[in-house]
Amino acid sequence: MNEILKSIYAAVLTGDMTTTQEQVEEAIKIGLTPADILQEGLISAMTEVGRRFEAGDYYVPEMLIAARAMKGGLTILKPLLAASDVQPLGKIVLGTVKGDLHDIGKNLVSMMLEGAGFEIVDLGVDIPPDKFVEAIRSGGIDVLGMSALLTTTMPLMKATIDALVDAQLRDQVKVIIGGAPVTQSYADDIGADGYAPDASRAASLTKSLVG
Amino acid sequence: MSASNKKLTMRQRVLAVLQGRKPDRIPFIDRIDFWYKGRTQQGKLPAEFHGKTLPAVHQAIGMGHQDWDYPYAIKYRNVEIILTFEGERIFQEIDPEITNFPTLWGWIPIDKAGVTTTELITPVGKLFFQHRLLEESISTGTTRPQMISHPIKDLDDFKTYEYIIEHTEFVPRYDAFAHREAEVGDHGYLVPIIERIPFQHLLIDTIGELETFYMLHDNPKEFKRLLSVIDEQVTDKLKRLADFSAPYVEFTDNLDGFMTNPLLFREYVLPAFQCYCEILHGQGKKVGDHTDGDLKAIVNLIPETDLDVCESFTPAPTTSCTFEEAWTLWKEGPLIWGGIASYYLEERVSEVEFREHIEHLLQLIGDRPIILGVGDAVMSNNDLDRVRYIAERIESHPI
Repeated sequence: MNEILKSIYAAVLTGDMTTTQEQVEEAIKIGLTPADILQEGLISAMTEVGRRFEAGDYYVPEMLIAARAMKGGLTILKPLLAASDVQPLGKIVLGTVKGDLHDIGKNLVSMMLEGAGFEIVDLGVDIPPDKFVEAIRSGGIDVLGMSALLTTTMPLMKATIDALVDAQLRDQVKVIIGGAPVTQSYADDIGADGYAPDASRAASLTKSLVG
Repeated sequence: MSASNKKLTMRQRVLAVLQGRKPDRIPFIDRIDFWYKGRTQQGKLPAEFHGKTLPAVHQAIGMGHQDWDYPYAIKYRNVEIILTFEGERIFQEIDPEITNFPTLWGWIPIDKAGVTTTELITPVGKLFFQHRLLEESISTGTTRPQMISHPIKDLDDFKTYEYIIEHTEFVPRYDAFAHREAEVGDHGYLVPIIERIPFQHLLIDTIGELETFYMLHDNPKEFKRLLSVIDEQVTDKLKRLADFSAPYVEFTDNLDGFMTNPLLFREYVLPAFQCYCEILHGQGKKVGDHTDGDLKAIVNLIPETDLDVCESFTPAPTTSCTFEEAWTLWKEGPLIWGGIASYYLEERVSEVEFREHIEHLLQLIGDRPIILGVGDAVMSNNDLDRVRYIAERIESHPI
């Protein structure tokens, strides 16, 4: 790997946003392609962050700081990616279901998905089924991700999937779910396409569904 | 019935376990207030409980009534507090006396949905924070407004917050506590709750969970200074609790090892607990903490805290920490209070699976001390007959 890409990778891993941005600028200056900077510098670093999280070596704070550094680099890179027609891996709609204001898990998933190369449409918290349906109807969405922290709001995940079926949109989008009370068996029961227990695994799951 | 065969009350069972004595039965005590409020709001309170108060429902199902109250309040000097609900001013006071800051239970409306903004005006600056309550939270009984913005939003807010913390006074409310304790009675236990340790205070109440990590990374010097200002105040308050004769007090940290990871736990949490436990143990008190988060990452570090009790311990599958892990690692303490995930009270778990789980737990526990409860609490979608089953099963299980 190119030395500058290596230093971008290292800076993201340690959450050093200033160095990440400086090195991304340097990489552009010496003529590395935006796609290489993205893939080998930023995305590969976030993949390693995910691996360390899953191994129990990184926790939420480390993941968060790394994601911020990645995002700092991505901000510089984004106009060049658009100009060189580098497409995101897919477009993801995220939201916390109606009746639930918890957003930390959703925000972490958003960061890890962005770090994996996806484009995110974050609808926010307390999102009713019809808002999710509206977002999917707008088109171009590959995956819908829903989060719930309360056992009392989990049924809104099923209500949203039912609303997608009613709107004849269910086949157009993969649905993944997560949150403290959610389990794989619940995902199976309500007809979701996948469940992830944490943000890192949500990124791997999404890649497997879109790829 | 001879005196020796007389059953202990739930309070006596809890006290026995806390004080290292063997009770006649495992104490089974927790909260059903979410269930009760939610079912009442939804008009789904079973007929047998119509007209019954919350303590009476506890009595009827056999589960002890756990409740909380504050043994002291904090007087804030040179601070004006203004609460506005959906744009309408609902409260204003100079030098307020508050038991729970900044959650402000009892001050922020919990009977209607909306956003409450709290302003704190001091001679050195102004802070504000917001809570939001949803209709769904009211109807499911979880009437806790959620903090949607925190008092400290940037570095400039540190000095105002430090000023607020430095100008506080300890106001005992031991009589009020004793009055509430009598109301809760022998079938329950009123837990005296004290504040959060400084790191959790900043993480949850003051800066916010994700923002704290940015702040700690970007401005460690200022962060640590504020921690030490809060630590000084907490230490002072704990020392003043010497006059409070309760056998047990509990911190309210909502510990979670994925947020407060092992590194942070070692640096900021362990030293705080060790110091505070030493003060409280010196007063003859047992010390607990409200640990309803995912403890998987820190389960092996918990025994180093010197805590006597991990209350509201919520095991898998609600968190990733299994009961067995904690049970094995906490052989020499702390005690578990909780240990039954509310998941097992849900419809998605079959009756057979639920009963097998309870048998498995009782077998595992044997006669080792524990206070059984539901982690984090019995929710409105839980089956209260299962709670009754656990209570009955425990009554038929002498230890």
